[in-house]
Amino acid sequence: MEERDDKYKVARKRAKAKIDFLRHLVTYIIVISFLAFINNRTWGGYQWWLWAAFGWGIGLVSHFFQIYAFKGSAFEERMIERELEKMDDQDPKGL
Amino acid sequence: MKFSLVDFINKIGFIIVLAVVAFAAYTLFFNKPFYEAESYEGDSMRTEEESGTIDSEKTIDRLEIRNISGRISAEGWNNEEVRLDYRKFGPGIPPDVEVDYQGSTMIIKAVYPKKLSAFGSVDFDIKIPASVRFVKIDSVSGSISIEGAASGLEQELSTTSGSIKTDSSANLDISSVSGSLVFSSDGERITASTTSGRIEGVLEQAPDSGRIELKSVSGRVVLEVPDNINADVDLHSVSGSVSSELPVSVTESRKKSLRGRIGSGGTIIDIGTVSGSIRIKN
Repeated sequence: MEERDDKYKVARKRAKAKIDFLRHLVTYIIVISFLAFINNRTWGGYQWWLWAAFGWGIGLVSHFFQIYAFKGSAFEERMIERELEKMDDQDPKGL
Repeated sequence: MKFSLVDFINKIGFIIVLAVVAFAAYTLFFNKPFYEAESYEGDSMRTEEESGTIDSEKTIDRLEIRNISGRISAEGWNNEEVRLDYRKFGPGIPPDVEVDYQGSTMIIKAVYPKKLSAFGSVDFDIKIPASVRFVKIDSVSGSISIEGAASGLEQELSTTSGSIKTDSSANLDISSVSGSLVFSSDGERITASTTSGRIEGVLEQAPDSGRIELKSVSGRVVLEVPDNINADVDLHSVSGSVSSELPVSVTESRKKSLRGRIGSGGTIIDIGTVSGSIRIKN
């Protein structure tokens, strides 16, 4: 039962992270589209909205990797196992 | 493995964002002609939208011009009417050019439509006949210049950001916040004030009386006067130097100020700055 609760907590955390990313993605698309529209509707020439798209885009890519490439991945599992082994070596009785 | 719509959208979104970032990086950092030509070459951003010519309907003796953004150039000519050539520029919606008459005064105005994107500009090139005795020009962003005007033309010129230049005027009142003021005048009342620009003035003839008042905050002031001028001078600066090439009978002299008389006195010359230097030369 306890194991089930733990799994539920992890699943809930991951689901929340994925929905947060989706919100972030939708906000990015709406805001950048709006900036591009304003830029080209009024100014036309210099595409200043690309700076926002570039900077924010890097942040969004990094957010994606945090959720899909590291959290819950084999890489993260290996890191957790390694940390547990280290803790066991330092304190074998688990005190 | 179960299909998750959120995962699917997130992954497709990620690919789109990656493409946008790559496109932005390429455009901003590698596609130089597009980036530089459109952003940093000042006037290259301006695109001409419309131009036209308007002649005054009757003989006038006063001319008023009100603009927000754009250069204003005027020059004297021998015809009887005022001729206005205008050129409207984007980006942004440029203003309409309206001409109004009040008695013998012609008023030229740039009127913007009430739209968010109405921030275009309009340049004015104006021909001024000798019948015009007074010109008033107000602008916000743009230089003002008057060349070859008929003698006796009084001028009142002001802009917020831009230089002002007039090569012949009678009484003169010019002001700018950030721009240099250059004038040549034979008037008895001259007022020039700027915050960050220099003032360079020439008195074409020695007035018998009158008042010349030049004020600048950080720009230097140089006033060229005729040898035969008779004036009471008051030159004062907070941190700039003060000097006169003409002999001054000094009544009061401090480190950064000078009061005295040139010749027998008469015309009041009052020049003040905060950090700019002051020089009277002949």
